[in-house]
Amino acid sequence: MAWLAIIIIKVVVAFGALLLIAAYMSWMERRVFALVQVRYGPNRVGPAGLLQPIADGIKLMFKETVVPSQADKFVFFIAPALTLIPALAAFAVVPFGDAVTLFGHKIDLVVADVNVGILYIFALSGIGIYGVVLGAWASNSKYPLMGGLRASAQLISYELSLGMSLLGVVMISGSLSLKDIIAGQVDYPFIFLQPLGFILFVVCMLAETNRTPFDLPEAESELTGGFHTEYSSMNFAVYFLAEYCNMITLSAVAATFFLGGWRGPFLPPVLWFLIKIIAFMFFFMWLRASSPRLRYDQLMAFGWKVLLPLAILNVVVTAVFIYLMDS
Amino acid sequence: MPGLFLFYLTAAVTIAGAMGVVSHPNTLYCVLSLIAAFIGLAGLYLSLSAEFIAIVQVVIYAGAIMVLFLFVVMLLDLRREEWIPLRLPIQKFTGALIGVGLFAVILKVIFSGSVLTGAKGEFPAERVSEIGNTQVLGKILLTDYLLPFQAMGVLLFVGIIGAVVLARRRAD
Amino acid sequence: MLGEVFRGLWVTIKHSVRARETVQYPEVREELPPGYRGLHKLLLWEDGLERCVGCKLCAAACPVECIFVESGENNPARPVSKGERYARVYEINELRCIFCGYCEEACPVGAIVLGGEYEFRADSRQKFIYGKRDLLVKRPDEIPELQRRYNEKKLLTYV
Repeated sequence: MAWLAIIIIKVVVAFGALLLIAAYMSWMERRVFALVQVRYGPNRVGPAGLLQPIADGIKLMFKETVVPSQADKFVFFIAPALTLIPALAAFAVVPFGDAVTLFGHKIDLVVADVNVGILYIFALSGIGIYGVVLGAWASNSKYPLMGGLRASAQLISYELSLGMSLLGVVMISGSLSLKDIIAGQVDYPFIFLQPLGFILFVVCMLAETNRTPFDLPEAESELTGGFHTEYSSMNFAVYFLAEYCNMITLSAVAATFFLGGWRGPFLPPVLWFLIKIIAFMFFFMWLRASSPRLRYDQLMAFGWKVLLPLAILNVVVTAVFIYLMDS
Repeated sequence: MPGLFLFYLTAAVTIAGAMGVVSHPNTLYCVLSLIAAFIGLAGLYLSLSAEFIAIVQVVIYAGAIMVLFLFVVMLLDLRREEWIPLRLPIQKFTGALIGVGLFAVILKVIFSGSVLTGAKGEFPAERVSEIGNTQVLGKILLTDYLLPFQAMGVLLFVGIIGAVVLARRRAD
Repeated sequence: MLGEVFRGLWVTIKHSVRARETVQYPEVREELPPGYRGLHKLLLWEDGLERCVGCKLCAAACPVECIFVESGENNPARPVSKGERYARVYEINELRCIFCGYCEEACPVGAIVLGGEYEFRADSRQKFIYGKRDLLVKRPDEIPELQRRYNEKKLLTYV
């Protein structure tokens, strides 16, 4: 039964850590925002405000759950879970460290090594859209519906470029498994081979996670809260966590595909991996503090007329290079 | 037998989803059932160790196409659908006939045993799991079946152009 | 477009190294400007007599009518104030008060002033009606800068 115990421990540790980091990202986001806006941010609860996410969590748990009277109750309640579960499950294929030997067992630091790993992540992020769309629809309210429509249109549009931008790395490493892709970056990270792919991926990542400048689904100034306007209490917290989990997972994918995953000198692999993820998250927060929002037609035009052609170009150029190298 | 358990579970999800699509009065729930059916189908592919097809099934059908279905349902507000009686009594009869016929075909194939013991092709299951599902599929698609593959691409392209032409407002 | 994005990032980075604008309130307190209008105080003369003569001009000037004064005749043997009368009851509803400072301007003897205190709190509305006990300073030199402010004005020669 050792293998079962190992799997259960891996699942608990990985997802526990993911949720904890996601919660702490809210703290980090507020601190980074404050940094840029010449403030301090939360610094009262615990040292440097480090207990703030826990306080927020407790507060949200004790809040009343408000359900709009005309809402479709069943869909309204399962929608947040439909967002969080894929967001958590997607992290399962991301390796967060080299194999370690513990009590005589060799343990790969990845919950599940799937040989179509990256497609699995895309599949789950595609499923994650439903949580947003259904939650928006079930609220039976104007703003959420608009936000939900925007979110789904945006996610579908940018998912194409997101996948295409990774195709170059997949072609070079010849595998869809994240473990093999990290193994292919022993000498140097793929960012040197795929600079355009990296930039495209980061931009698409912003759009996929509804971050500024692509945060139209929850544009506060025009849609109040967007798709989660009618959500309160833990339902809202679940959406919130799911959003951060998605950001972390995509950051992890970016780190894995372009920055060598957990590879790095001196420090232990898990720490390197964490540093890379947090660096991406910091960039997201920094960008959110610095840039305004795109208009909706600009968003669509940018996705279809700029990002997608560039991503296809990247694939073609990579293919030509691989062909020339081989022959 | 975890594999068998997985098969029964996903088969149950698929069938329940498919039943929901045709029987649920709320259109939105029909769409949700269809998504569940697609995901169940992906599970069935997985139990056949066809990971690539399973994932693509989820990405394309459950992830992208069904979102568009949802769009339509949400925007048309089909929440309370009125019961429309079938116009021709023959419709019911034909439907039942086709259903029974299809079921008979399926039963015949199952009991003839040719599915389980039929001739093995160039890529039997052992070899596929050896080189990897994705690689095999890619190789076959881009060598042996290159022409149908390209033809399919052209077909989809024509479809896209048609959609653009239809959606475009006439410039007059 | 990309250029503008980077310019925005540069601006925010420049801001992030600037000194913080936030005042860490309970630990750090900002110095109030000299004319700050906080909690009211009723002042005393140097000899310990109350300044207020119960003329009710402050109550008349108050735009929200939060001041209530009831005057009483001074006992010549043991006067409370320097005039004929004094304020037997002086109440201010601090919840109603808008801290405009008109009472201070209206007062002919410089008895009522708005001091620098802004941290008064209570757990019921009733407790925000401040009487003479709460408003009157204990010693003439209790709030020296306010006393000085009024001594310098020299508007009290006719008392």
